[in-house]
Amino acid sequence: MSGDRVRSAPPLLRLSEVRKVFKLEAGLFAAAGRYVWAVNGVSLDIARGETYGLVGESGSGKTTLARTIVQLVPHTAGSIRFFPASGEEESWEIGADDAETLRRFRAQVKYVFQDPSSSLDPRMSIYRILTAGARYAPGGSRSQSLLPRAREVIEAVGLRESDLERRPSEFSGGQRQRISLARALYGNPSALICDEVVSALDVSIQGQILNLLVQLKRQFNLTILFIAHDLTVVSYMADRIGVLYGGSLMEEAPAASFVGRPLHPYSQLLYMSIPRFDVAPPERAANVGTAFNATREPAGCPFSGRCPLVQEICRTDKPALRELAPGHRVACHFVG
Amino acid sequence: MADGQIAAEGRTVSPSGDVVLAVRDLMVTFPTAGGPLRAVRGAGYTLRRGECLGIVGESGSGKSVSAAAVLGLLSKDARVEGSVQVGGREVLTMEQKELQAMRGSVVSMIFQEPSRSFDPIYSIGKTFEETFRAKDRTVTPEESRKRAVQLLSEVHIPRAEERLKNFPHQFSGGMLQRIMIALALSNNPEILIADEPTTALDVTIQAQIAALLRELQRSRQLSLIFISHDLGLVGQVADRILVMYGGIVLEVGPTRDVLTTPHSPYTRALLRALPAWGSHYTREELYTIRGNVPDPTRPEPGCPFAPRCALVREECRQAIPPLRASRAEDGERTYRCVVEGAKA
Repeated sequence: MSGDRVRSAPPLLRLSEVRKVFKLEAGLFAAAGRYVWAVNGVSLDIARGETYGLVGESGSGKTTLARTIVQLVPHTAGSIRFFPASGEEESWEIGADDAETLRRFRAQVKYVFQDPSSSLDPRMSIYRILTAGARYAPGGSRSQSLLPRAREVIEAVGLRESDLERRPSEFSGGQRQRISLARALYGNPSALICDEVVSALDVSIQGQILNLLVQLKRQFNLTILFIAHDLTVVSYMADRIGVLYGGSLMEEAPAASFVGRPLHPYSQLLYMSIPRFDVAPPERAANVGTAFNATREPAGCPFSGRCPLVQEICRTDKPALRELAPGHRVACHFVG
Repeated sequence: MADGQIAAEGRTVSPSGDVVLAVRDLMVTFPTAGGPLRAVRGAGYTLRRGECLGIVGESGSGKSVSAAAVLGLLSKDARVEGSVQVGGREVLTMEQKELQAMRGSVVSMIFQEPSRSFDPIYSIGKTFEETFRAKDRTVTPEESRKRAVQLLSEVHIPRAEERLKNFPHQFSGGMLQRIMIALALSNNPEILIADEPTTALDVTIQAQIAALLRELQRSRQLSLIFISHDLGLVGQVADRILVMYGGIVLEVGPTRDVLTTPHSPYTRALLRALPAWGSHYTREELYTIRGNVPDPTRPEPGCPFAPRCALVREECRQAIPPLRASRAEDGERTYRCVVEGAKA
């Protein structure tokens, strides 16, 4: 599956045909047997040391996909493999039924949430927030021995040792996101999953956090899965970019190749929709057709309802990813 | 558009009579447990007939509060000073009755999250009917239906007739925002205030709503106030831009002019802080603005941007900079900065 890859960097994570179907509860007014097809067969490698940027709109499945990786949401089908050492000899299959592997995996891959004000316990001091995992771990160490690492990570994210005694409410949104990052880094993970980590922040603060992420990546040799809806931010941060729509990967490319020329009609629509003051908004472009409906079993290309290039085959056959330029793969019957 | 003289910010109705809204020296203070919160510390601007004025600011800049004041929507305990004139009439001293008569038929407003602005137990048709009836008790269901269908077609809702029977949850966010706009227009206002109308929407849908507002502005000769934190988006829809920070208007001028040659160091920093398409972390660091957004319960005596400004001087910290004016090719500009031309 990775034989056609130009990049020879060894993978850290490999998703193969990952699917997630949610069953909706039947209720007083709701019929039984309704489902949400959130992720519909996504295969991708995240190379060791790279930043993989996953971009998509709401409902694209980007957050669900990320959550299946750490099993906050167990996947329905497919495989998620983690390669703990450089090379492909050893790999761990990640799933909800292997608790011991999952525990070791979660120490390696940390999830950073969008809204730091709701993901930090307001009653805990920053020190307790950072060390909570270590304190409750089996054989967890006494408080004193945790301080040096807490000091190290809080300074790495640009805050001070004295901040360890304060509580989340005393910090601004940007500073809280720094604390979330420090918490993720505490256990010395090999990867971070950053899910919309700057979208709740003001523009003037956003840049500080993005620069910090780049710096942390270098300092701690991190692999990052960077998830966002903002195409410009993703293209700045990522080494490779994956575009998700309707729970499927529409396009995947090295950042430079993607930025130079997004190929999939959906990627092009996303690109044209970026508000730029020197360009008039696309009057008609996005105006046609119907969006992907995740409550119907998917058939064909998820974008076929809105695509300007649509043909009959698009509604029945789901296009596979085809490589059109080195490392640049597109799931479309007609592009290329 | 410009009438040849350099106007002061927030002048009253101009002799040419094209000003539909004039805000002058607006100050809004909310009492809070932590002391008075000075949400707006001095805002002034004019809105001309048929133009789109974009108000840009980050959270806490006072952009929404200053717009809510136009409709008299601020809570009772807010202390409001200054002047807001709509069609030459003072809003801040209006009685409840007058305010209600003005809302919807002179000034109308749409909000960020359309799904929260609808009553889930009313069909769309019923919601329209209620909106029409609020102004005119004699409207019959048949008239209401006709007018609603026409409004829905104007905002490009397909199969408008059928969709009147639907309930809010049966529409997507983008569709609901279209319906919200149709409702806001249902009593033919002259002024429409759109407060972050696309922030809860996806970027592809955002582009549609921006285009729709632009279209209505032209077809109805609407005067539009478009409030957003997104400089690129405001730049795309607005004829003139007003930049707010820390409750103060730092800069006003024609869109292109403000965005290409900003006079305020804040505007310039904000423009630079946006990652450019094609920039990459391996080649360049993002430009950042040091520090944090100001705390409105502890406003600085001087320019609110002073603690973060790269060009700051001692005098910036002493008092709010006076208003200055300059001229651009396509109209007048005003700004508050003591650093000469703020060119650095």
